[in-house]
Amino acid sequence: MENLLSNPAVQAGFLPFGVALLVALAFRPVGYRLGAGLALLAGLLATLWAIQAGFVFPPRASTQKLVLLTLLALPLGLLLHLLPLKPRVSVPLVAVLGMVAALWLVWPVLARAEGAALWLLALGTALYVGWQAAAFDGLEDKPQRVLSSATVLGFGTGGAILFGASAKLAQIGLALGAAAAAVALLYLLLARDGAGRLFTFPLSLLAGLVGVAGLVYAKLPWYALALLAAVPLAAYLPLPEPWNKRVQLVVTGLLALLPAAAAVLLTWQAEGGVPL
Amino acid sequence: MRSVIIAAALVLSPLAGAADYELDPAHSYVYFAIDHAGLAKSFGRFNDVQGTLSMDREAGTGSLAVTIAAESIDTNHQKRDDHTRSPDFLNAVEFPDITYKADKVTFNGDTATVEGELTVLGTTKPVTLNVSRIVCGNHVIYNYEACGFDATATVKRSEFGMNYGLPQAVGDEMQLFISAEARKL
Repeated sequence: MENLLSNPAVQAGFLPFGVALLVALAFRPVGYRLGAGLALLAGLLATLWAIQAGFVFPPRASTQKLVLLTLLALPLGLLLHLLPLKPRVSVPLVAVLGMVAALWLVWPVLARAEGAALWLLALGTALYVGWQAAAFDGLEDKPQRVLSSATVLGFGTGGAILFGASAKLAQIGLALGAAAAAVALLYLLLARDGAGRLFTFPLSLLAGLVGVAGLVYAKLPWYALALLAAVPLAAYLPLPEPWNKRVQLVVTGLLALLPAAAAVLLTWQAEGGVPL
Repeated sequence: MRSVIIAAALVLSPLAGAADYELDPAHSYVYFAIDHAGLAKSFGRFNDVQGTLSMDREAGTGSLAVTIAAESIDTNHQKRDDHTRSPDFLNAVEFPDITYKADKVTFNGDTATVEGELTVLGTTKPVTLNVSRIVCGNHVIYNYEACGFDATATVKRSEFGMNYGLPQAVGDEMQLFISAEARKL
């Protein structure tokens, strides 16, 4: 069992997928949207446990901050899920939360930077995470399509960072994709409701932060993040209304795959193979 | 991976009192060995080592402070070096410096034991250096007083929160091999 749980493919793929699927199934009676969010977080927490990401308070390192933010995403996501916030309130709200989280994550580097480098780093990282959070929050009226965009964002972020020299950060990104995929699969099979803010907020926040961590602390190229920023836009592209929601989910995923695959490919070309 | 550089210099000068030394970065080496996949050892070194030390052999006292640039790790493979600098191992961008500070030296002839604290990834743990060779005198090339030494130590990277690859892919115990020269100030 220990050997199984130390396998990276299990840690970042099968484990979060399986845990998310079980949790989503178990929480169906309390609401599909609530279950989707709980499933995502449960899958990610399972991976964080398996890779011994470590809960330390106060956190010292960026990976420890990601663990803490994952735990905070649950009550924050729940609050956003329960409050009847209109998009004109929720979108800027989650954007600001994302920006603050990004600045906190990269603070050790910001504190040493000066001049243009400081502003570029601060604005770039904050805007990226704020954008991801806002873009996914704006998809509340497309709860099915958001599932495939989320899956692709997780896998794309993790895949690109894997070539960008950090397997641990990559596993967190891939786990997000795997957990989201489990929820998406459940939707495809049962065709119930889609995902709400308890799903979109943690997913977009954590995928955004993992991407920023890959840029700042590993060797993820900035243009990979720029491409990953386009992933949620796939869910905004108009699709024919008569199309079945399942079909829309799949088509959205394929469209989102374009910029994500480009991010992975370009990072591979720039940085070479996966970490040894 | 973790590297600690500890420079221990002993003063053999006939003059009493503490003497201050500065590590010669060009002639100070910190190498490490760590198990890889249970098959063989992986080796590497740190290329940026700086430090100062003060020793009074007659009084049996000494202190030293060493700083290693985490990003200077060199395993003769670019991809592996990038990986060891990442958050998986040294997290060199977030924690650029590895430091060692010691204020207790126990001399035993031309050997010594140095007890100090190593700080890696923001975590500080006690680490002891076993100094197996100490030589001091006038540098034959540069004509200044200098000391040189060889030392070893063993650390567990997991104690500093570095657990990626455990238990099978990359070992926990790191053996450190240090050889350094220090110029008297």
